Amino acid sequence: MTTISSAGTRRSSRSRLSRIESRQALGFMSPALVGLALFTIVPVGLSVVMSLYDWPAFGERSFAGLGNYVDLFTSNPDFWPALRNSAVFALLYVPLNLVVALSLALALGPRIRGRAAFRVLFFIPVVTPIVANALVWKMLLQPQGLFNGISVSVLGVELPNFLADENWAMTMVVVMSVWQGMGYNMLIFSAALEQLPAPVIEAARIDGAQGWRMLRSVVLPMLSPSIFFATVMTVITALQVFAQPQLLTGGGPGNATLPLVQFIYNQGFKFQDLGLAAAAAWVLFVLIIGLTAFQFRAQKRWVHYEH
Amino acid sequence: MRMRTPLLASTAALAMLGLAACGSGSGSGGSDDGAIVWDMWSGSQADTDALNETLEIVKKENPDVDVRLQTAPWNDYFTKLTTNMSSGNLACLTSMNGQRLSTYADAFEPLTDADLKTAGISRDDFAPGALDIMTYDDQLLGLPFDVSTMLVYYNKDLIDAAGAPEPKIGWSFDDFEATAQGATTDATKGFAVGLGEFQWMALPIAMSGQQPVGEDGTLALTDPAFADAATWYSGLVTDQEVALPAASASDTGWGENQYSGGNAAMAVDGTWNAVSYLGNDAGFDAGMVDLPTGEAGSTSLVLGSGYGIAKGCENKEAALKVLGSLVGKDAQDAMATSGRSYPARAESQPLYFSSLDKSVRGEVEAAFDAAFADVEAQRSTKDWDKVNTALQPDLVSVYNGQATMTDVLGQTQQQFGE
Amino acid sequence: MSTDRTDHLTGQVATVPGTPPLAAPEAAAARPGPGGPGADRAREASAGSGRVRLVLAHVGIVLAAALFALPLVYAFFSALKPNNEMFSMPPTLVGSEVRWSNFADVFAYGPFATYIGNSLFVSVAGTLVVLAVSTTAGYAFGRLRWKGRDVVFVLFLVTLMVPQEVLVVPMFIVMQWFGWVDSYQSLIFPFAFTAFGTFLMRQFFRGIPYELDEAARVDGAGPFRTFWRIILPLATSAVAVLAVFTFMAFWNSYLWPLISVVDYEAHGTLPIGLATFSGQNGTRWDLQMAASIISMIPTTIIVIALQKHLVKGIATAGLGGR
Repeated sequence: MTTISSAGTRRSSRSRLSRIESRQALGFMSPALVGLALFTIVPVGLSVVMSLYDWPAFGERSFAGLGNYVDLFTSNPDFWPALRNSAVFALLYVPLNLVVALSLALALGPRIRGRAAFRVLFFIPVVTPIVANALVWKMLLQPQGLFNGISVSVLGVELPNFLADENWAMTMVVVMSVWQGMGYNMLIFSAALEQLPAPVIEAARIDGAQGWRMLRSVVLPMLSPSIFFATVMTVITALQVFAQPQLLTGGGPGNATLPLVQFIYNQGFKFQDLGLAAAAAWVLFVLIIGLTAFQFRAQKRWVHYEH
Repeated sequence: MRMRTPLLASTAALAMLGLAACGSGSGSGGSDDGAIVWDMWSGSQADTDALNETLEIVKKENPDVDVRLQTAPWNDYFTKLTTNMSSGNLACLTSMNGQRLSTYADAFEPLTDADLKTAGISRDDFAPGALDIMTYDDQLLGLPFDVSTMLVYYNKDLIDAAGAPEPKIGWSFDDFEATAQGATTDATKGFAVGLGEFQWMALPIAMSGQQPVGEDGTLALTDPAFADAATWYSGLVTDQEVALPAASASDTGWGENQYSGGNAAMAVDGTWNAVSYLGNDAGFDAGMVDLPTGEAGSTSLVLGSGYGIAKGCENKEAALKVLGSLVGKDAQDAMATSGRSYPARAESQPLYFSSLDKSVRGEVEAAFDAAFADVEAQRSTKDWDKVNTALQPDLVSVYNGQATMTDVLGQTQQQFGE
Repeated sequence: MSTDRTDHLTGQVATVPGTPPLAAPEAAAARPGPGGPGADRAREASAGSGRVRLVLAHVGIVLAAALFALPLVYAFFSALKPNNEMFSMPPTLVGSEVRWSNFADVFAYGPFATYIGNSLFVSVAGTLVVLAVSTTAGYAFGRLRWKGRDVVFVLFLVTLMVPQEVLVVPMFIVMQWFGWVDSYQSLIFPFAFTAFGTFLMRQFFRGIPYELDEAARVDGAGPFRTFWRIILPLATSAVAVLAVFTFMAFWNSYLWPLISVVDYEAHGTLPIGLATFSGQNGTRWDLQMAASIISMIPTTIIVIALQKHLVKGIATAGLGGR
């Protein structure tokens, strides 16, 4: 993680001071460390143990070694599809979310009237209860819903049964999720745009950079740190997606939109196989860490920090 | 600071050791103060008020026992139950829905005749078949408080307007098709298919006379008679086009919502909703009949819910006494009189009808009598919950014409048939 | 809203040592707004198509806003419909009658006043805990030098990646060890130590010039005094961002309260209240929508009230990826 190692610039001849600071740091950190140990490290440790056991919700637990992991990869019929669905969701959701968020942030430039109001509007789905969001989207998307109604009466074209059609369900889960979650990234990009140094933009303009070329060769590189940050966070949330498919499509039709976290939830809370659920959770966890580490490695190639 | 990391690691390691040591801790009473906890689902304040009324009856009958009610919303009740089970926190008196009993069977203490005596309950108190609701694998795991079965509900206004024949008690599947087709118009459909377990299975079972679980307790989804009937059922959407395909697998109540929204003339739902359909918001005139009779005679299942004693309950005797009061005459009479549920206790059942408005009383009673006339016990497998969880999203594909019923039943059978 | 381009310049100051970070953007915001800076005027002159593009941009944004608002508008009107008309065909925006009484009925259906009170208490208390923990830990990570700092920080970051659904059952077991099942503590503490806040505050603190600490030390201020009197007051925008995000997370949290609360009438929160409308006998869609609208009110107010700080806070906190 390259962002971390730049702060201590004047480290020389300061070892005594640094020892004092270590003690002070411990003081400042102790609440966070204690909390993190109790409420994250311990439960995480417990879940590792659970993943190694045949752990029904009730009754005898027995040590299973890596049995749960083997089951997942070899015999469980829903695990691979769930893994695939989470990957497909992330592949569609992350770029779409970033593009929409970035476009809106760019469009909401300083000369747009009421940009503050627009920003609030685009952010509101983030604060809306997901139960209500999902219900409304279902009412819009069903064959008797608003979209199909408009399409039939205006264009005379019958739209597919979006949420029940295996070719469309995932797309619609992605669209709804982007609508619901894009506001965060839009705010981040808006903030980054406010920080762009005007002289650089002007200089580029005098050089004749305009429109697309200006965006591609000047603005985007300068935004790349925030795009990087947004990408990392969005990939994490994409792989943790649960509520949107659960409420919108119920993971269906078939298992076309069943993501990994819903698989975990079903195994644990519906089928009482807590060991298998914990094992699947660890697969997901490793996947997320791996992808994040990869992104931090790959950032050198496209992220431009100014110093 | 390098000290921190090992410290954290050892904390975690300690935790794991501690956990491995108490590897198989199972249920306790779930309360520290010796009170008997009664765990039940409840949504609205009205539901909770009714439960509290029952609680008063129980307390009056058992002045020496401290009883406490705890509730969770229906959909989440079972999520919480799993957490409570896995943490040894199960309430002594845990409510259970008969259809899900097989999944949670391990958590309940089987009831012996001696137990029933302690509870002051006789098997004969209950309506025929009612005890089957709380029976799994030949063991009685609890006592039922309500019984139900599936009915066909219909919208008289839609059927009259379309000039379709009105459903009648004792009708056949040909009659059913005639009504469904007759009531299908450009604006509304004659029928609405279900996604919930028996909201959809009831008609195929009635038609084939065959449950999807064999008498030996093995899964039998591919039983030819049942599979044919199920294919006919999905054909109501795909071939006969008298019903709409479901819009999403998360719409568990798809068919029922279509019906109560006035978009479909008929739907299958449990007797538990009779009262709410009669007084429907939409203001249409609602009717109800038993399921159509198939070639093998009429076949319907007795469903319902009950209360069981959790394994590891520390004060079993007190819990049994409370259980006896919960399904005792006073509590059952009160439940029946309020019209909230059709009681499991035979002598309390007539009170349910007297709670209804005079104008519908006769019709409801006739439909209930016909529907309960020869119900049989629902057979279940250990995996029954999983089977239904797997089937529901697949049904959506079937209704939408992207999979066949035969394939879906075949795959599910293969996955869970053992 | 600061509308001129110069605050892009001064906003940048947050990462340039030697300038107090927050004073500058505020000063910039106080300057006359639209069309003020010469840079903008020069640009308009040079780009002839500027006006056309501006109109196009407005049209595009209004269209996007309409698309975005549609589900929200639909949700609002659904909350005013009778229950049976939720799924009526063809769908209508406004039902056969406008039932404002749905909002009152929500409170008759269950103990919603209690749910709202609990949610407010838990969200405010949780936010305060998060702010206290994150600012101190962020200070240690961002401004103090100690061995192993980077390793511990990576550990912190990794905890961001554990999905909550994974931790629920083990966390419940931990709550039992503490005897915290069914308590306000269990609603407030377990998820108040996530690394997000520490990360955000660290990013911000690192942008503050170190000369300030030196000066404080020369004046004889101890580390806590420096933190409390010098550094923290500079961080108000970042703290505002953290407060909003944390409040929202607590306010909308569902799975954990569902599991850890036993007595919903005493400790239930609003999202649990929303779930009570789905029962064994079907769902009261009308009341669920009305309750959802009610539950949006506090968060929406906070977002509107703090929206200026949100953007500025994200910018100065370097959440944009410094």
